[in-house]
Amino acid sequence: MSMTDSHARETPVVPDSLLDSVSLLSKKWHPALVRCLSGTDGQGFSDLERRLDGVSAKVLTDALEELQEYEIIERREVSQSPLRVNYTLTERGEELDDVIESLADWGETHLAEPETEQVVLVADDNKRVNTMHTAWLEDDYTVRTASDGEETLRNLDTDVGVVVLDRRMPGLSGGEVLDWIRSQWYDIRVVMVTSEDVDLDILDMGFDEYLTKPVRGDELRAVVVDLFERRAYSSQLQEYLGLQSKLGLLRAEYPDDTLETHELYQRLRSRLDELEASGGTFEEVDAETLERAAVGSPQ
Amino acid sequence: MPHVATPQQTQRELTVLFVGSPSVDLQAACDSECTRPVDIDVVTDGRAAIQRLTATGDPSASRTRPDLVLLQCDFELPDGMTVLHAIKSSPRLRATPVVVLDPDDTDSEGTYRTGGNAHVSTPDTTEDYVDLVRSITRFWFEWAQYPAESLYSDT
Repeated sequence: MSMTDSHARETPVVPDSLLDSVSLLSKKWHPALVRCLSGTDGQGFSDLERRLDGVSAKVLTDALEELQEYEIIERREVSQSPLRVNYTLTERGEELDDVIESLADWGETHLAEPETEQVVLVADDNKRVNTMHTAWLEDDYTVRTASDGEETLRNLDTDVGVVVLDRRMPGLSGGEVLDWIRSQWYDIRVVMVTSEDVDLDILDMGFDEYLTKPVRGDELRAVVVDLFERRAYSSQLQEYLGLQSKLGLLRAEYPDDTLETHELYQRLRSRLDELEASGGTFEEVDAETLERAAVGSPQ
Repeated sequence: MPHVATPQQTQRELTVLFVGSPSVDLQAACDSECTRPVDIDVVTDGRAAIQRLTATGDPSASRTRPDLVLLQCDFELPDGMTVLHAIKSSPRLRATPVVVLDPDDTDSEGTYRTGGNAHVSTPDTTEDYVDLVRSITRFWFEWAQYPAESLYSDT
């Protein structure tokens, strides 16, 4: 008998324990549930249902039961009436979570498609703000920074996808830089950031989104993610979403009669209606995005 | 025969954007020397240049998209190299020829690396200056294969 044979008999190349683990992890919702519960002090049924977008109640119930059988999760009744249940990871569940995380890291390193670089240009004359905005974005994007309008121009090219632009900068202002970007046919989405109150001058500005300082990290990240998505949309839809954002902002700040007598506001309103009427072009965008954009529009 | 110029095209007034402070009356010099009508548009600094090239409102305004840019680097913020980069990175303007006139005779490599089409020293005497502008416009408008007509014809 050769050495290989005896070796194989002692420890099978693929032991049953490995097959069992792989089988457990290959179920669609099992790893997802473990990830959901990881780092929390428990989640209710409806929390899980919401976070696992697309799971049916029946499938979720079955998956939870199976994970309980394996003692990966624990089910605790928080109250009887109304019935409230809380699911947590057990100790062995936590261990499994580590394994899943390693698998995800490995996949990201070796299986993920090489992504095209997404470049964000952050422009603000306040150093601290610049550093902060950069720190919030640099995990997910290649971030360039500029501390005035001139430096913003020097960092601008067709690789840039999104600009986070301070409205007031010395020298060339944010408004001038924005006009430049718009007039030069750049495919760049711009979020204007300002410490001032919203004023009617913004009617003239061609930004896609508008944030008021102090900007929160989650807020900035959400806007940048959204703006990169918008780059794939038609220019009509981009214009529509930009207008929605602008008009929604003004409606939140100004009484209706002030706006209704403002000529440029009227013109933008009709443009918005016009774009809405040709709404067939908006099929490419998911309902959620449109809903988000519509927040602030009149009921 | 797609590339034969019609009389109308030949007559089209060409626009030169001059950025900086010219030491001669460029329009007068061009009126007497150039073989085609040339409109010389002078702005004295980089900010004014960016504002001029920012097309707002009227899309047909030829001054927002000149046929040739002469960039005399005698101003600051945004300086000549910033303006050059802005033009050469712009999807709208990058085909526009830019000639850098350098009063200090310094960084020609920067010009070429940024995409400038030529780098020349600014002459000292008025006569040489006129001569230079005439040579540059003649080169770009008469001798060089020029992107302007074909690129702009459909806009």
